[in-house]
Amino acid sequence: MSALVATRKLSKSVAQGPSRLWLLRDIDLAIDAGDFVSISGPSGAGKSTLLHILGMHDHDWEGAYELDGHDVRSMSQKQRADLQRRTIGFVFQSYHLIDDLTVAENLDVPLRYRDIPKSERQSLVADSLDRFRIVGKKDLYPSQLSGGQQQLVGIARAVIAGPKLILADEPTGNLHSEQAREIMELFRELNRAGATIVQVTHSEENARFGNRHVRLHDGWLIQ
Amino acid sequence: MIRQTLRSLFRAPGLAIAAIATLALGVAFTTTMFSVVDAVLLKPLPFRDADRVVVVSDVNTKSGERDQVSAPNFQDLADATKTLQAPSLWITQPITIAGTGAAERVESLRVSPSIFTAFGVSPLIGRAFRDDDRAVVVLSHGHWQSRFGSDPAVIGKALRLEGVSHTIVGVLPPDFRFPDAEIALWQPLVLKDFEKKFRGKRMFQAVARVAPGATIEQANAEVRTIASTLAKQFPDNTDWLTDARPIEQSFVRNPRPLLLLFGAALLVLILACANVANLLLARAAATRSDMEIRAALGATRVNIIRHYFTEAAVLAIAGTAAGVLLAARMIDLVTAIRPPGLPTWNQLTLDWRALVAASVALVLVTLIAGVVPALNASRDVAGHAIRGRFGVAGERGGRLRRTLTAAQVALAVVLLVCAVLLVRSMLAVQDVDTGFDKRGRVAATLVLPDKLYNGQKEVALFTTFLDRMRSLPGVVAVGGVTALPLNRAGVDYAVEIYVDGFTPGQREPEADFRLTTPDYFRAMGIPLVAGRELQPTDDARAPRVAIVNETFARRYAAGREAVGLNVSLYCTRCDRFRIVGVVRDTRHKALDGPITPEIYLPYTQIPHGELTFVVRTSGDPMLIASAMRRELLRLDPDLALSNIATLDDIVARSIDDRRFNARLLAAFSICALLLAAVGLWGSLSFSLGQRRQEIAVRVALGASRTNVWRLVLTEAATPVLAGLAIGVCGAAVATVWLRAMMFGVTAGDPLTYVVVVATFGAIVLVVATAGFRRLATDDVSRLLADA
Repeated sequence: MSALVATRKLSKSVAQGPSRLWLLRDIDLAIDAGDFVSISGPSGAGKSTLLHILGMHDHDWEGAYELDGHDVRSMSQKQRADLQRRTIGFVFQSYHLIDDLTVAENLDVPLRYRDIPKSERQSLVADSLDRFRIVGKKDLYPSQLSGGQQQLVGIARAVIAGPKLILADEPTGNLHSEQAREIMELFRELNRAGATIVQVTHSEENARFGNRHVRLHDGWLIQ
Repeated sequence: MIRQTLRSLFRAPGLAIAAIATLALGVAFTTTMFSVVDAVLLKPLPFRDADRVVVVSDVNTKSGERDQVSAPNFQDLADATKTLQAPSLWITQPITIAGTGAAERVESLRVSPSIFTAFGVSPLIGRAFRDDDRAVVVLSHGHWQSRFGSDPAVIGKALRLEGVSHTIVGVLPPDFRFPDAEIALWQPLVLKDFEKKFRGKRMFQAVARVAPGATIEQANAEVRTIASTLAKQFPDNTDWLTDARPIEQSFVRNPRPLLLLFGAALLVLILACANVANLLLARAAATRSDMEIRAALGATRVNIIRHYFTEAAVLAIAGTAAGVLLAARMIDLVTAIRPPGLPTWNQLTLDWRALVAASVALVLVTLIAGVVPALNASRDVAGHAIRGRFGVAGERGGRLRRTLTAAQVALAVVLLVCAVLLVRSMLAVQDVDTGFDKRGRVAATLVLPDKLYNGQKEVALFTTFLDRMRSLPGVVAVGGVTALPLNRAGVDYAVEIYVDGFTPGQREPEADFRLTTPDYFRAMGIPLVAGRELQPTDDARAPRVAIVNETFARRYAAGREAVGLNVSLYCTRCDRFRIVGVVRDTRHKALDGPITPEIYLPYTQIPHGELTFVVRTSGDPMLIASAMRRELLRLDPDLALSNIATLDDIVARSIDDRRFNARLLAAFSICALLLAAVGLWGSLSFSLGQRRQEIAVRVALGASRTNVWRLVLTEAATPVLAGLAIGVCGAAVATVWLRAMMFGVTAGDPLTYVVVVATFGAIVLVVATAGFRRLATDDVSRLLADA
């Protein structure tokens, strides 16, 4: 496996009475650096489950998973956490900005966890505010922003530490179509600038923004 | 509404049980301590119109010192007064009963025949005293039950007191306990010649009833007028005044420890309320969506407040009921450990007054526990503040909950500091070197009746008894003394002394005077520092000798060798005793009291009818006690040993008051600590539940376990730090009231504060660790899903 992301026979199940309920079955997936992959499928297909496994939020699975050349399965919890910090940025469907922090402070959160000196963090936050054109909103709290603006901040937060891989879980799920299109355009720009993106989406239209489209059904990868 | 509330509480049994248990503890402590305070300080004494019974006592106009009265002065007062009825004297007297079973040493009262009129009490059976009564007794109800099996035919039966036959004429009712429950029988006071003669011998207590139509103030004014006339007439009364005070004021010597303990119990109750308020606050946040739906359906703010108050009231009623049941058990426990210093005229019971106190607690609990969540939730819901739907913090009522937690910690800190100081004081007192060896020793008092034994007869009996005890198997040494250290029995007073070559200052030198047998110091393990011990040859015919303690030698020998000096007691021309030995200092009156000069004289040279014997044994000391009883029975079946106890027990009993206060306060503080810890845990787990999503996002954004641990620790430590700061200040104020109860430790003792802070530090670590573990930070997807 030389891709940025590679899984082989990746499966996940949970106990259901005397048997098991399979959420993912034998997923073989390779994502190269620079790809923009859209994962779609009906509810309960296992899209978000797969994304959280790729994002190393979930460690209870079977099979093989290699990220940026590292065998995730054989890593300790600390090593996985280090790899996650170095490699991944995550965008949530519900934005998940921290209510008590301003926009600038929200952007600062991932940097704080990467032991970056304060002056450098301030500079990165300023750059990010500028890049995403939200300088005027830096002192506002999330509750003072529209849904689209909140997701913009969510994306800015996901990319601020320069991850190799951006994972987005239904990033436009709570936005109206105009805002959704703007966000998807932003993802395309980021991809063109070199970011590898994996998004989970229900929307065929949004899925078309990617250069690859994979579908899941009842935990199986069908395309 | 109540049915719905009950149903919703049944759906969350954990919260209901925690709240009820918490309140039960608070209510039980408060009700128990109220019962103690009520019995000792508030409840009227169990006499008819107790507020009209007065105590008459002498007051020194120079020193302000309050003293008892002398018989001749009181007789003059009784003859002259128009505002007092049934003026009566009383004095306690330990006495040996025989003739109706085994000889037994009991406490009795010698009283003026009119005393029952003064108290307004009539015997349950039989009659009260008549003026011409002599050899008769009235039994207390307790003694009638224990010695006579409540036999109604006891009236007219005879018993022997100190060998003299007396007739039982009455039995007192069960609720009459004066001055405490220890009194077994009452005898009419027949004044002895010396008691009638000396106006300066203030040896009697006196009571009277204020006459109908007169007030206590008028009675007091009249008593003072009569006393000032007597002061002019008799030189012994110069500088002395007499007054009449309500009896309640005279008998509770120091209410402060009790009031402090009651205050501590109230703090526990308030802490419990804060805890329940916190639980309800958490519940209000958890059920907020229900309330939003109710508000959307038309519920007003009042409806919502009523809902939360009903919830608090239901919990408070259940908690109070459980607390009252628990209090009934606690009262038994307090009765069992009650120190002898606590008056016992009113029995400790869970009566209607205690139930009223519990009801007040119930209202207090409902108000405190209900008002905070009700107002907070109603304000929130009424404003339809649906916010943070897509955010991740949105912890509602968090500041209020942290404030309540901080308040609980502050209260617990105050109690814990006080308890640690009292416990350390108690331990410091326990560690005080008594000056004698208490191991393997038993003591027993023998009092000889004046009428059968006096002078050399007393010496002969004591000497024979000593010889018999010495020959018992296992006995290593035996000695006797008129007053044993740290023991309440025995004659123990200071006398004026005159030491050769010592020039007194303003006050005449004094020493505590005791009579001892040879071998007493060896039996007690009190080392001889200089000279020799008393010998059997130091008898009535031998030259008069004395032994003194180190403090005596240091103070009065004035740099000379004490051995060889002569000392006389009472007057310069009285008998002179040659000091032949110096013994080590002992703690005689109290472990935490000063050491005074002491002088020991041979009992053979000044015969006295009461000695407390100390037997040092090689085996179990209490086994020797029964052998001692047998030997005494052979000598005289009408004699009985009393106050039989090991020296270990005597030393331990001497700090009963201290132990009682420390134990109770320690129980309160441990309870407070547990409540505060539970409150902190409840607050933290709820808060972490609220912040679960936020924490999950932080982990998703790269927060390490250490970062999350730090976050949880900060969440737990913030209210604790605030509570510690407030509590330490509060403790600094509260301990001012404790100063009189401290020993070997100061109110600002740094170690105590370090221990308390460290305890809360440990609690924070435990609670934070438990909270952190529950977060399962290695599974972010589950955290996000749970959130």
